[in-house]
Amino acid sequence: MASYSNCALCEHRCGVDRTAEVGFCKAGTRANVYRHRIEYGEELELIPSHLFYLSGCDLRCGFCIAGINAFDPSRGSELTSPFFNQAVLWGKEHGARNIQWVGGEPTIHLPVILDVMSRCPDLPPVVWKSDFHGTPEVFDLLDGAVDWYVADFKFGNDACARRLCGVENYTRIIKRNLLIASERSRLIIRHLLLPGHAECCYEPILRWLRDNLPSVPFSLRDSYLPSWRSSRFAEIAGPLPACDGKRAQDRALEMGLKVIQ
Amino acid sequence: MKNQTGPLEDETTMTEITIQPDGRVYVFGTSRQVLDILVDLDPLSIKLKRLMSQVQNVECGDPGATSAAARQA
Repeated sequence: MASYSNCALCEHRCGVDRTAEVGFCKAGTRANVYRHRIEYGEELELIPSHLFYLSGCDLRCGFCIAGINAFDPSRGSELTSPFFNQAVLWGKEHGARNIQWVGGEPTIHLPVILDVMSRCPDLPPVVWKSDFHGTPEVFDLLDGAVDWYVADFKFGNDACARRLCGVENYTRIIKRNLLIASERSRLIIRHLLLPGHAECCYEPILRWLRDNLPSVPFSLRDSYLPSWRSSRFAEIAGPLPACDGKRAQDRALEMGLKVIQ
Repeated sequence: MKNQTGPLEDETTMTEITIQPDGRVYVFGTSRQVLDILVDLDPLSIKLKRLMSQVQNVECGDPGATSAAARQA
């Protein structure tokens, strides 16, 4: 059973008792939904998808598009079983094919999420959109509860992850988790192209995917815009150059990856 | 489509559209309504392509773009 005491949900492994104190993510035992809506702009395999946005995150990406909603776990309304059941019903009535947990980062709220899903009488297929910085224990708990994983593969090396996101051992952790998820459920890997990170991040990611998960759908995002604290980092202070998206897509196809939209 | 599930504001019909100075259009949180608009706009239409072609010719200094007065001078 996932627990908030001695928390080891993400790889920060704070070990704090979240019933009484907070760790890196600043979240206690209450999960808050700051938005839920049906989304039509996701991958074709998923839409229309009913997204539940949970506040709070275990990462601090300097370019985070969700900004304060992601980093302040007190924002939003409490995720309770009655709220969730009513919301799921509403989503179904409006054509949603699935529910999708997003953030922030849902991993840090896994116990509450598993609880509300277990109490939902007619749960739709479940999509788990994550930074994949969770521990292996998290993936064990999710096994059988998730129909799709959508993983953000953000950085191709640890130095960029440390500098832009403040996290250690990033590549070891995400590669391990991608391999775990790929064996257990359907998986989509997303990558947001960052300006100036083609050689240091994008190319290593492509090579690793080619060598390890070449048949996993690869969703390339070229919609980067500066956000949150990106102005602190010179190379990501502006939008992605116009030609970089097409060039990156061509490169992924050259590598034999299964690029999807 | 009104979201009746508690205190949260209904954002299902909200879409964030950003247009960059270089003309790129970014659409975040695509709603059904915005998809309908994009289809109606038909950015691949022949008429639009002709218009764009005309604009590009002007930008490239096509003589046809000069005014009658200028041609008489």
